[in-house]
Amino acid sequence: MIDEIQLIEQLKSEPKKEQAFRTLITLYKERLYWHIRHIVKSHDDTDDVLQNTFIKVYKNIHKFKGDSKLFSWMYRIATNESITFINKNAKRLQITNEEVQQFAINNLTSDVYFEGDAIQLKLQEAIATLPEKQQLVFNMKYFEDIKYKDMSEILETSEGALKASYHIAVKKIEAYLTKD
Amino acid sequence: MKQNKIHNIKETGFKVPKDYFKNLEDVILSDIKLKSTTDDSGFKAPEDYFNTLERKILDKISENDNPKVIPLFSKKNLIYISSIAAAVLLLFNLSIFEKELTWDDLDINTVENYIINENIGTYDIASLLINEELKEEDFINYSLNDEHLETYLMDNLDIENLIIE
Repeated sequence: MIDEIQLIEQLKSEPKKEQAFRTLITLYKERLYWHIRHIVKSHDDTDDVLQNTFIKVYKNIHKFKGDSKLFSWMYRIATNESITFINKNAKRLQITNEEVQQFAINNLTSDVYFEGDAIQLKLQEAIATLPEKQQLVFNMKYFEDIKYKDMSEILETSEGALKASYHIAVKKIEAYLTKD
Repeated sequence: MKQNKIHNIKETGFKVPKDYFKNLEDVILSDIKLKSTTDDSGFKAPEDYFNTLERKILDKISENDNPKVIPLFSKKNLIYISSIAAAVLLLFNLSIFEKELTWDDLDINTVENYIINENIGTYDIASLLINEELKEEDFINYSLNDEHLETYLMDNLDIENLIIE
């Protein structure tokens, strides 16, 4: 495991930047991929957002002050990029963000990269009914197993509020799954 | 003395959030129940996707490092700038910034002087009023009570007059 501080230093120095950046991608690509995938749902959209996220990291690394962890800084960029992506789609199609999500869920059945069964599809439907923030918290806790402490840095929300959000989300989803 | 003080502390100072114990069963059980249905999202990534990602992103960055040079005074830009300038000029000429006058802005003196100077008579004013707006009650006050009426008649009328009539 490479020291984070050392990696940041290399990222900021011109000669080692590219090599360090390659290491950074290798370290975080899968975690960030799944984080984005759970928000935007389709693989192709995730690929776009993930690449944009890393490009943004590369271009803005000199602005990274180190007052949060590099990991949470990158997650924050990925989250913002995903939400911006959904907003842009909503604007382009002139529908609401919720409708964009509903659209993405409806497309899952024909998505070759979604191998979920009926329950998993229903779970995705249930998640899509939640408000944006609760969706984020639920996905991050349930599928990505991110600690509340880290989540609090990424989403800039108190741990208590995140826990409450998560439990509300779990209850709503359970109610949705046992509805009929 | 010190011993006593320690014995006097009965509370630890630790607190739990309101309703924490009341909701704990619920919180734990709903989480377990949901996890027992599925804890996998069902999403899959294409094979080899992660192996080629570094290359793809680094290629994109080197592409972006040599940005296209766009001349500042191209024909397209000139059209843009001149149309913005024209729009701004137009905006000031249309005088949309002037405050619109309302009836409340007129003071009574001005109205009064206007009526006097312009020779507006009662008929002119009357013609502005619509029949429906006018009621008899606007001109006649019916709130006379019997006592007043009686005193008035007693004071101002004498019986002779009535008889003559």
